[in-house]
Amino acid sequence: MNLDIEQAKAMFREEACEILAELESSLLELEKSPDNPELVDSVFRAMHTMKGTGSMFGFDRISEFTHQLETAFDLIRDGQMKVTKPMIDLTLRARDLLFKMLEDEDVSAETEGIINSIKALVPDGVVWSRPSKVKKADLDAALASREALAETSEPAAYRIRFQPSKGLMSTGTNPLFLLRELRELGDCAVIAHTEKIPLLDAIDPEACYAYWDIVLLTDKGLDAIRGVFIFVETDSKIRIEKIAEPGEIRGLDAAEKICEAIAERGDISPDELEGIISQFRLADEAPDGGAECETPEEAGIMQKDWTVASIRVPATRLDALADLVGELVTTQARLTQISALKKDPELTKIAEEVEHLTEELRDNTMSIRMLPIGTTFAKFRRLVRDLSGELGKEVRLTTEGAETELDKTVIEKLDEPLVHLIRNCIDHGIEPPEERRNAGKPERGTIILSAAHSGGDVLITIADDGRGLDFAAIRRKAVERGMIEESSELAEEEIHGLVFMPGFSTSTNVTSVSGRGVGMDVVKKRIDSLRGSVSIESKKGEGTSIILKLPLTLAIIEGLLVRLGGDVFAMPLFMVEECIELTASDSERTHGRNIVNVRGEIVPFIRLREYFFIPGERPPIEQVAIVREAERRFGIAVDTVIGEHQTVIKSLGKYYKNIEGVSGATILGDGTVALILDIPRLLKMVEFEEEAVNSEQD
Amino acid sequence: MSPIESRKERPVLVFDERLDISRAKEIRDALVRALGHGGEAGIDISKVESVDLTGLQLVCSACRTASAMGGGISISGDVPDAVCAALREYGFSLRETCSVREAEKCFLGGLKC
Repeated sequence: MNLDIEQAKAMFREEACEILAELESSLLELEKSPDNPELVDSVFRAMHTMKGTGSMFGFDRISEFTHQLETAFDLIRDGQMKVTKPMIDLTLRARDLLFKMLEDEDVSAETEGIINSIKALVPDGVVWSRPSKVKKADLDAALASREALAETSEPAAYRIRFQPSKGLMSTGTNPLFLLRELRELGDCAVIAHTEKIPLLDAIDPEACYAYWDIVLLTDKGLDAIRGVFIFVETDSKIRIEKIAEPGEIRGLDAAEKICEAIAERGDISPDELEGIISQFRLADEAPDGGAECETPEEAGIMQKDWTVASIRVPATRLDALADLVGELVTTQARLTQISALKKDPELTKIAEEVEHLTEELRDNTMSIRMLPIGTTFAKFRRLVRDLSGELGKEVRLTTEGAETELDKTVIEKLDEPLVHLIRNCIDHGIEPPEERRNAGKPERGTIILSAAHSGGDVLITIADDGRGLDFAAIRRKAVERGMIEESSELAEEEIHGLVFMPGFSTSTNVTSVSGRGVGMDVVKKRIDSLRGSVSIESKKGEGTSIILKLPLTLAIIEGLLVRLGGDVFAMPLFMVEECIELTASDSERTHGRNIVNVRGEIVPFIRLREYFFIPGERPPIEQVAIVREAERRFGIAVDTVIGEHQTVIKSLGKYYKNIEGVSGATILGDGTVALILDIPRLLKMVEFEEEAVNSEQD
Repeated sequence: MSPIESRKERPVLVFDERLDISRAKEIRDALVRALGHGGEAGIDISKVESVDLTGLQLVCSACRTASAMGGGISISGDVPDAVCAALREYGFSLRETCSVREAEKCFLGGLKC
């Protein structure tokens, strides 16, 4: 099947981004472990894949550039050149340029500069060699790597020659186990060669004389095959070559016949091998062989219609799907309501089935949108490395909870705030090495980036062990700027809140990194727009933690509907722990104060009727929904509790979004609108009530 | 009890359960003794429950040695499942001809499973 070339290019760009992300990771690891050959191999393979695949899809400049970089890492692999910090710096810059080249930016001057700089690092006497063209073998290797990326289920065919050392079995290794591992990778034909077995009077009975020719059909890729021999490769001769593309050879039968033919002829030439393979190759799927190629068209390599274990979906389609599911949830709620009114058993049964299917569809759609936050965390290693280098500080970044999942929209919008917060940590928080030494701290500062679930939210914490917030300086600056009166007495939390005001900065230096005071208010606005909150914990001299609290998903939650007068409200069900009755005599016992006794625990509550100025008399028996927010329990008194409801969250729009106590709205089954209560904000109201009670008692 | 019996009227090596590296030297010595009278011997592997590459290599070596002496070895009794599985897994079952004497059939590859 011919791919449209633009479609193919788009696919290459997506895969290239993944390769470049892994390349950056490998380079950062290599900087810490410069003698690790596996990391060097990993970098080399990334360059090699970019070269081959880039050439295949017409990205010639990328292919040429990565070819040069590959040459450098080939010298490193051969031990002719060492991994040094300048080399890593240049390769990271090269990686950044490759991103630009993917967008067709002309960076030829910069790429030439980087290659010249790398060549200047080559030791005297070492030759910088450069093969002339991309060979088909390189394209095959690129295809093999792409296969690994695409997780295709069509097996390719490999010929393996496994010649163990004579002393293999004295090390406790049984070649049978290796052969079994190969069989686990796919259809595998094995034939033993025994010509080296001597006569009885000369044989060492415990030595290994046999060797094997193997033909393996597998979709697991070259790395998986290499992995089988990883512990014996230094003492054994192992040759692995791909002999057919995915889907060209199928079935154990064909593998066995090829294996027998190979074994019969012993060491055979590539042409003879091709002659054997072509007899078993499935019709009209063979690429041209043996040619040196300039373009994918000349190579005759066409994209195949492979079945894959995962597929790429444009994000816009996912968003459209989520919207449709939201509409379906609302319509299903209407169906349920109407079926309850009609009291028709058939209709009720159908409504229940639709409700069940809708719930499952909703959960599945939401889970598709969930991504681990580790994808965002990984980017910051490079940021910390570069920034700390720029500012002359030593900083280590550790991450926890990278597997914690959030809605993809939330993750995308978190990028900028997190970048700013980390920049702030490094610029203002972490002290220079000398200052840290004088303070009795390790010279290298630490930033911990962590994520964890907390009920229906995710808590993301950025914690550093730097100098902490200087409350006195913050207060002074706030007075200077007229934000507060000099005589004002502010709680610690309120002082923290000042740093989120626009233009606020206690920094005496404006660096290229921060200090202009334009960042923290933007961070707060962005977190607010995600229906999240941001708080600070800090101790002078010890460090600062910024805690972001974000909803798991922006789209749909399980809600509890409650009635007040003629209006319906919704609250997040996961926050509601229980509902209790509140009678007139209960209120008399507490002398009209808004507190209830729940099994001996005094729980304050807010009467929503009063808070929202709902007209009319309250009923003689009210319901109090006891909710938990962080470590606090408090109640919300309403007229009646209606029941659970799948709440599709709709934004209030710019004119109503700042209403205290309400975070959004949802459309009910009958088409009316119910406001969604903002529990954390309501808690603040309750805290004022508590303070009032306490000061009365004083 | 010796794990290998020799019967005078026709040397037949009867292997017990283990035809593997744990008895490598013993098996080699027994095969040398059995082929010491003209290079003709039968081998009975019907009781074998454990066989590995060592065992298979020794049988192959015995076959080659017998052939070099102008004789040969033959199989006596059934071929147990353990041996059949080992022949398959070690890649002997696909061998038709001897690696060294291409005109001759492979003894191990030719065993009836």
